[in-house]
Order: sequence, then C-alpha cells, then structure tokens
Amino acid sequence: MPAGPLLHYASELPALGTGPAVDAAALAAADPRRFFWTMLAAAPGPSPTSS
Amino acid sequence: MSHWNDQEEYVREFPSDHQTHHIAIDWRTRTWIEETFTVGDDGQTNPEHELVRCLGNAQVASWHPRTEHSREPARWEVVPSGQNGDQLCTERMLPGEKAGNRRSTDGVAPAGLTPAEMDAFLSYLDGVPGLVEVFPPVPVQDAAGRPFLQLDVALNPTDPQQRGNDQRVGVGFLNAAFGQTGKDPEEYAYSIDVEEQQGRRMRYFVDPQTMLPAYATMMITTPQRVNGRPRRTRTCTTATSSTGTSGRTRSTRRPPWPTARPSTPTGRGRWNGWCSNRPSPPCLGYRWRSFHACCVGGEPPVAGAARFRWPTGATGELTTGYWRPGSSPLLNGHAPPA
Repeated sequence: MPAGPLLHYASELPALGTGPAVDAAALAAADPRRFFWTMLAAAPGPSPTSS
Repeated sequence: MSHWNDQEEYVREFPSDHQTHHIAIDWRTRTWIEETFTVGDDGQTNPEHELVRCLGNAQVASWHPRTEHSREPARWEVVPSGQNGDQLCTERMLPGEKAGNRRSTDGVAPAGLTPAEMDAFLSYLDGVPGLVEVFPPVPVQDAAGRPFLQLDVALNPTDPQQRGNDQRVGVGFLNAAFGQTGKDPEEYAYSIDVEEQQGRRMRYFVDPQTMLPAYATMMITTPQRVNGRPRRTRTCTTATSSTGTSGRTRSTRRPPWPTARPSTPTGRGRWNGWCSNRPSPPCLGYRWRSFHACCVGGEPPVAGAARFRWPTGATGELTTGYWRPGSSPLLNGHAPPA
C-alpha cells in the first residue's frame, strides 16, 4: 500500500497545557478524521533522549 | 486492563475481574513497571490476592497481604524473575521479543515517537483506503459532569492486494505504518497484540483539555478472507481505560460498550444488540484502570489481547524504573520494595 500525502499533525500539534487551548470539540466536529489523527499524535511523546 | 472471558461474565462480574495489569513506561530509558492483581466486587484491588510487580526484567516482586488464613504479616517478596518458568517479566520489552512487547501500547497508538515519526505513522494509515473510519464525535459527560468527546473509530480489515494473500489485513497495517518510522515494531515497544488480520472497533472518550482518551472500549474483530467471509467465527471485545486527566476517582458503573455501526461490518457483528440497548453514560474517572472482555461467543480469551492505554504522566515521573512514593498511579498504595 502506498503511503498517502505526509500529514503534519504531530509536528503541528500545540504543546498541550502550555499554549492556547485546542478547541477539541470544534476540531472533532469539523473533521473527525483529522481529530483522530491529532489525538493519536498527542500520545505521549519522547524525551530528547529517546530513540 | 482487566479480563473477562465473555460479555456475560463482564456484565455479571464488573468491576470484579480475574486479572488487571497496570503498566508504566519511561520512554527515555525504556524502563518499565508492570503490576498484576485482581479487582474485587467493590472496584478496589482485592486485598486478599497477591499482587505481582515486575521490576524490570531481572526481578519480580510479590505483595503478600495478610489474610485470615495467613499469620504472616503483609510483605513484599522479591525474587529473580524467570523462576519456575515464569516469563512474565524476563522477556518484557526486550529487542526481538515479540511477545514481550504485549501491553506496551493500547494496540493502536504508538508512544515515544518523535513528531516526524508520528507524522509518518499517521500518513501511512491515512493513505490506506477504507482502513480507518472515524465517526462524528458525540459530546458526553461523565458521572461528575466533566465533558468528554466520544469518538468512535473503526479499523476495518482491508485487502492488502498481495499475491497469495487471501485474507484481509487489519491491525497489521499498524505495523506497516510503524515501519514508516524506520523502526521495527518487534524491536521497539510497540505491539498490536492480536493477529494482523483482525480489526478493531474503538470508542474513545477524549478529554477535551488534553485531547487524550480518558477511557476507551475496544473490540477485536474476526479475521476475514478477502471475500469478506470470516476466517473463523470468533469475535472479541475489549474495553480499556487509560490514565485519567484529573484526580483519581472510582466508579462501579459499568463502562459503556460500542453500539453497532451498520456501515462498518464487524465480521460476525457480534456486538449488535448487547450494548445498543444499554444506557451509555460514560463510565469515566478511572485512572490507570482498563478493562478487557474477550471472545464474545464462548471462545477462550485471546492471549495478550488485553491492553492499557496512554501512559500519560508516566514519562517524567519515572526516574529509575520505580515510582516515587506518593506519585505512583498504581493501585494499593504499597510502596515498591526498596
């Protein structure tokens, strides 16, 4: 299966709790699929030393 | 995660279960902790049951409560892991140990990736036609009135269009997506936990503040042949909760189960009916609790199908692989042995 266009949801995800609040409800209502990707992207990320 | 053999047992015994796992992972150091115990009828840890806690790969600690049948005081007992053929701890999260990665993720979302790696993972999944189906969210509240978004997602087994492959691939695409990061899911702590041909139905309850699921229920679907016929008649369900986002609370209300989605074939469609007629106030507020019910239809549980979710709050707090006293999300309040 070829990969689709590269998404940038993780790299564009605001730092939760540190910046402007993400209007999750509005995002989810407007584009549930994108919201899902963004939710997955919000999974615990690595520290700079993770590999 | 907690285990039930079938939906009847789940309905009858919840919140009591036969086995619960709590896992915390420090992605910086790959250190981890896994705690296994049982939950009683009151939703609390069964005080008369042993608690087993892996201390990395080398040691396993057992909490022996004092019971009416035992005159010895409650105590921790720490022994080298692997004794008596017990591999619960010895192979956990070691490179190349596929089984040892079980429960290192919720079976869907990888953790510990960089944003660029996560983008590659998501982009691959997004590019597989028909694989991921996301339904409009529904605003809900938990028993305390806190708002959550209920998000239903189906990971539909899809024809991989591979010569000689007569089966649809479901969660196997997650492994393929993970491969886009340049990492091998078997060399990394990522695990789909079930057969690659199986699909999943997920119902997430998302905390709008963090955008992380506070609770989720999952179903594992029957492997299908390319023509859509089930490879065998077995359907499993899981329900998994994750880290809560606020204080630890407890509820004995049964968590909701996904309702059938006519547009999403579920293999055998076994979750029709038994949840759709049930009121579904979200049973939220759990912290580091998860639930697993498996194999609707009387089949034995799928080994390793239970899983936890999102170790939020784990990273950063784990410094040596053990939880600092007072900060552990693990149950019981028993401090880990020194």
